[in-house]
Amino acid sequence: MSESRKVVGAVALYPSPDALVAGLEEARKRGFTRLDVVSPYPLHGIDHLLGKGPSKLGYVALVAGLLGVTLSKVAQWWMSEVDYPLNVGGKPLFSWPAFVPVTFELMVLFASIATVISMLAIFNRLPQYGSSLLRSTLMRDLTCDKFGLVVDARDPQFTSGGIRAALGGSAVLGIDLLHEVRPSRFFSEQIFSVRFLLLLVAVSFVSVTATHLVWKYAGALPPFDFMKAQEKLNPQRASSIFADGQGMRPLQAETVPRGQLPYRFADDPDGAAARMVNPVPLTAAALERGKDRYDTNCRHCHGLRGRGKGSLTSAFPKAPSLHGIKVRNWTDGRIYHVLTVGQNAMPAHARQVERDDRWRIIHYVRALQRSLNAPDTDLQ
Amino acid sequence: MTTPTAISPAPVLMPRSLRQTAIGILVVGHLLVAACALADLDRFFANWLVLFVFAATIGIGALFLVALEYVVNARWSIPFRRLSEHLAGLIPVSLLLAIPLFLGMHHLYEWTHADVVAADPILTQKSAYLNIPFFAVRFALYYLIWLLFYRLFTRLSQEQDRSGDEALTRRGIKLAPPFIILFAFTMSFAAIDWMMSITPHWFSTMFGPSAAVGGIVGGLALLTLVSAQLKIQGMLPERIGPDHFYNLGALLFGLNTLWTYMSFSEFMLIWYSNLPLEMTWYLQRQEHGWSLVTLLLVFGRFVIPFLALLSRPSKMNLNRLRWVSILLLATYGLHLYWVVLPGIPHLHDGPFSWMDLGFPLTAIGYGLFAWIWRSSRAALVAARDPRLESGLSFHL
Repeated sequence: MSESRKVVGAVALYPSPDALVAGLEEARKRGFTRLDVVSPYPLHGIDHLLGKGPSKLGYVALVAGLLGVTLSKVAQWWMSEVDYPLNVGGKPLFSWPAFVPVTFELMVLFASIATVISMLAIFNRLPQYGSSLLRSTLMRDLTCDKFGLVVDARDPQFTSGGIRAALGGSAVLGIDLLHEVRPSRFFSEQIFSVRFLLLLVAVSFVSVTATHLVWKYAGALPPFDFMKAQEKLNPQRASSIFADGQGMRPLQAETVPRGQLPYRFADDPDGAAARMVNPVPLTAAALERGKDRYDTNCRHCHGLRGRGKGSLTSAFPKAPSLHGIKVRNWTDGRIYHVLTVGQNAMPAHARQVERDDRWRIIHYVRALQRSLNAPDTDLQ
Repeated sequence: MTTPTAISPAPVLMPRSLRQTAIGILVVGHLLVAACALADLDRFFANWLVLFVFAATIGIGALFLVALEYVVNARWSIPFRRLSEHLAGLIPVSLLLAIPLFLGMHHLYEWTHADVVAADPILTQKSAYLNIPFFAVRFALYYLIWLLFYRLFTRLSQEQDRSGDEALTRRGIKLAPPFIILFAFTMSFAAIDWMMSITPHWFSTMFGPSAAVGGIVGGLALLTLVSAQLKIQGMLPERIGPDHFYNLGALLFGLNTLWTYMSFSEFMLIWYSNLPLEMTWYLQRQEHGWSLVTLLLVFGRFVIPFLALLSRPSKMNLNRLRWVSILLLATYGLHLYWVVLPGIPHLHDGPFSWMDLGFPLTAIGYGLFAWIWRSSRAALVAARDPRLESGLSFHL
């Protein structure tokens, strides 16, 4: 190590924490102010002796932890109450007890990541590509079982010549001057150097490939596939759970599935027309849902606006326009009858579309009809 | 190196006023308890069960702390070990308190009624475990184990006061692991026998472990209270300093959070699966004013102690440690009250009555009694423990 480099400080080596504390107090008595301590493990209370207040890191952890709690609660509320409401066993959509574990984990995650990053970036001022202390011959002891007292060269009491005498004491095992670090050959001071970026790409490639291979091959081996390979009921699949080998279960005799009341007017279209009224109130939400169901189930034949110009018209018999005088004069009940049991080439839609959704489609069809054939009263 | 500790191995006699206070509290407490017994026998036995479990589990929790120190070879807690041993004196005292429990079994446990069991297929199946002779045999077994280890640990430590022999410490290290294993089983089964079987159809696999941890937290809270009080009164060695109390507070903080974690896991799984058989136990504790007690427990046993002990300086603050331990002990008693009373048919109608007042007083009285008795037998610090010096010189 050439002595021509600028001296940035000095380190004194002590055999024990007690000797270090004695040396530290001695140095402070001599008027040194820019002092620091290097130790293989945390020395509680040393901040106080260095004349530093308690670390601010705890506040970072507190704020980040609270942020994690808030974010997780908001995210879970939004996901399960707003974006994708899912009824789980009749519990409230926002079931806070069930969300406590996730909240707890996110609190820990946010707090620990924020603590580590702020410790490195704010309190330790990283990234630095080297430290003058690392070049010291005493560093090996400092990472093992010895304790170091570091004096910054910017300290007014510091002189390159006099520091050895100033720090010397019976307990001191050795003193070394610390020199300015020059950028290394491989890593420059710039974080976006070509070599560094190439290294980053290589590391990402290796880790992504390894992850991919593990997921693809190891994940399909027992015991990792137990959850996927377990016996369960799948629609349209065989299953060994039931004696008849069927996965889909036939209806029990004398039962009615929820939301699927038997249709009383199957052979009686006139009865349907006369005796049924639309039970679903005409609201914006009902129209919205009706449009959604119409676009899913009706549009490919009857067309976007109900004029019978759907995308399937070349392959199937042409579907009639819904704006004809016949359909316009039908009651809601009569249209419901067609939706439920079918008509001519149109199959029954009772299985695909739930009862109330059929009524909502009728609301939407009425809106379509009115858009082309508005009554005079609408124009006044 | 170990000689400069000028701590006397002679017992410190507690002041006369403390003895008079203890007698006064016990007399008033017992009068109120007797009034409760005359007014409502069911309520008396239920409250007495709470009192008995409170005293017993705190004593065993304190003994667990002694074993824990041996098993992990802890140094910082050596100056506090004798206090834990004194507090474990609640184990023999609680055996005294168990007598009314056996007299009142028919008031507490529905499985003791032959006609109820015969009419109920589930209880008939469980009767192989839940019957009075086997209950008594298990009870005797628990106390045999606890008293045996209590005697072994305290005698070993007091013998060391005379001889200062390091071999005794090694014997403690050998005794501790079997005790901790037996502790886990006996505390779980005792909690099932004494408290879970009040609602014999209901079961929860977490009940035993969380009762065991609850007992440890109770023992640790009492240890913290006693040591902080003695320190404030200047009855502990000068060298037991903030660092020792920091560790005590940190352990209390951690174990209480563990207890909360276990109790919440128990609640959450039952709440989530929402099965009628399991959920009824919690539903019983959410009606007729019991939800107020539930909320008191949430805040008094977790939120307030957690926030009060969160920061680093607060764990070294003796006054803070003292009131947090008092709060934890009070809410531990309240928790046992919340576990026991709602399960008994007509006590389910509502919490808190004048009839309950005598029981906390009696508990304090018996606690003081155990303390005066034990502290007259041995010093407050294990003065001639060969590792005491390293314990006293502990720094964070």
